[in-house]
Amino acid sequence: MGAAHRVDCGERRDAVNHAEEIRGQDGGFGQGGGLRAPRLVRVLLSALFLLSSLPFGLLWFVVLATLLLMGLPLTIVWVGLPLLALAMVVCVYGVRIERWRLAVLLNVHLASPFRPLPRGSVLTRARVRATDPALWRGLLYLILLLPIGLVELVVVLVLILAAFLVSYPLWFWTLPEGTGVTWTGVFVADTVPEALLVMLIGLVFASAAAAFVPQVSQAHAWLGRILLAPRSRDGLEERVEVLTEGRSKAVEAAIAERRRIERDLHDGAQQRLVSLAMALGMARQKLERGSPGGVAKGPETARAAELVGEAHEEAKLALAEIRDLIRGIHPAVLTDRGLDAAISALAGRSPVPTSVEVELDERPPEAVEITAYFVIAEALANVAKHSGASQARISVRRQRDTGDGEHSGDPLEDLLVVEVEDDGGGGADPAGAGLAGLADRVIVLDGCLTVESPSGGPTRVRAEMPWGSREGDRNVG
Amino acid sequence: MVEDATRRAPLRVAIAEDSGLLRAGIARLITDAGHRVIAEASDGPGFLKVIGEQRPDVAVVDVRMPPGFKDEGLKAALEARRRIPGLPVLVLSQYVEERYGRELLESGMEGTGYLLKDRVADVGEFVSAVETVGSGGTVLDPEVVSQLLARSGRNEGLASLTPREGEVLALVAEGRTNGAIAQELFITAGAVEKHVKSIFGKLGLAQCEADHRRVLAVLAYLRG
Repeated sequence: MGAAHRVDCGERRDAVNHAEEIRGQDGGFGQGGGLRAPRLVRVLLSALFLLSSLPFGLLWFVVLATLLLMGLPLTIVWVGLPLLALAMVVCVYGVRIERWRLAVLLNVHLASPFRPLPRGSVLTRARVRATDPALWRGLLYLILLLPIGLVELVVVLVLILAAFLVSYPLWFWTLPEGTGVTWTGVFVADTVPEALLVMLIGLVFASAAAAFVPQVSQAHAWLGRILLAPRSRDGLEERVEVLTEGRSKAVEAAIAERRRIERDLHDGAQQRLVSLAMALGMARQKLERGSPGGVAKGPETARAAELVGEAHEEAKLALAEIRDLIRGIHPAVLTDRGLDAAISALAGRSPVPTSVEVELDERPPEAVEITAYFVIAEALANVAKHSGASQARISVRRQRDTGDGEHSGDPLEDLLVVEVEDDGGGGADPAGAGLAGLADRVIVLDGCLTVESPSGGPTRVRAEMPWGSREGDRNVG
Repeated sequence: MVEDATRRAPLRVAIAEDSGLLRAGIARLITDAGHRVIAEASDGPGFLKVIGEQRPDVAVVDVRMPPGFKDEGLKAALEARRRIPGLPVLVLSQYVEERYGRELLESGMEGTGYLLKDRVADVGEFVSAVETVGSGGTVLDPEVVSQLLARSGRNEGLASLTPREGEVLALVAEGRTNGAIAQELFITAGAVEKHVKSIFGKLGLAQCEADHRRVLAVLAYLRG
């Protein structure tokens, strides 16, 4: 208690960056998925993979080249468009098959790189697909697969040749006289020692190839990771975008809901209570003035007058309570007249004399405005309850990002800065329910709340929130 | 006060309020106090139409009315003032707002009232507010006055008042008579008079006898 408490905005930003880095590390899908299969199996599977690259490469190349070469010129007469669409479909399935080939033969598992397609017409879906960078990376891969497949075939052929040479001593004797492995056409290996020599040479080749084949496969897998998998950074940014959007939608929904409740209470319970209090007030007046006939008040009538008087006072208290409740849910004056008016009302109700300074050239986004209002309301309530202050000061202003500050470079960095200061005894607990709840509301808007309250005072509550525009333009009536 | 007022000539009152329940309640209250409700409306245009047909002595107008449920009532009241200069208007609002108060006072300070809607529950005070406004007086809600005080540019002058003088000033600004202020603060009418003199002296305002002249002087001062 009593110590100055600061939550630095910078710290929080760093925390976010750190989280991003950590996620970035596990973004390389399947990297750690080690090949635990025995070495021979691994080599054979790799060889099978390299061997299968060429036929697939040939297939994709022929199909895609045909569709694209026919489709592009024909676009002028519209016939080309279905061809291009078909190319797109081939591309998507090609990428899927290639990912499957990498998974089965190399145990490299890649997530689908494509953005999820939205609901909607074929046209919208096609547009989303065509603008997806993953499609173009996939196309590049499928076209490159033909030359790559050729190179890989050569590598595998070396392995096959090595196998052929290693096994030579087992079958050279079945060859007709004068044929066999030859050296410059003169020397023919047709005796056992010569065949063993060939085997030795074959072993050298085989061990070289056995080391080489997985290397080449891994190189291929590396290319696949770049071109066939979601870019970890892309995915993350997209995810952040989705989450941010979801969060601001949730904030908006909560505001709309509160506004609805406010309206319902105002139109319903509040009106009825006013009406009830009015009726009780009239009844009270009549009972207090006495009956119109001039008959003297009996004890029963006096008792009734007393009860009605009590009921009237209760109804007025209930009315005051429901008014405070409605204000706490959603202050109508804020929606209708903005922050300046709403803060004036708060200051006017504050038992501690409070001065107000508002410097705003336009209204902030609704969520920011409402949070600012509740920060001030809570801070003023604390001033009245705990501080023992004789004066308070509220200031609200827009801090423009001039481009040379620490936040330069980000287009959304104008800040709404709200400060409530008093001349009281300090010692406010920033972890207290009210202030902590407010800090949460501010953080949801990417802002930060600072409470400085050294014992002996003064107390200063400061909230900074990005002015932002994510919520879209508010409809100011 | 209420008793005195009912002996005056009955006022012809127009009511603009969208809630049928409250409209009926207010009408009953006003009729019961011996006045006449000559017109009722449930929205701004309707209100302007009825006051065009029958000029009332005072109009009671709710700020929040259809279609927008924002400040249609206030706009209608200001428009009515423009069409019928000096029309006494008592505006009722779910919340009081300093600038609504200012706009209203700028359209004419005499015969102007601005109260929280909840105040109709204090039936006697509400009826006397209607009567005060109807006879050219000014009635402001205590919350409007405290907001005016909070946002007043005249801080030095206000700071020189004693706490008691501050209380008296707020009550004067609400449009209370010396008698009402004395009752509210549990002091004698003579003491109130002394405080008022001191306040006017400190703020440099010309002394005036009539209650509603006095209110206007204070409000003009607060508006800076």
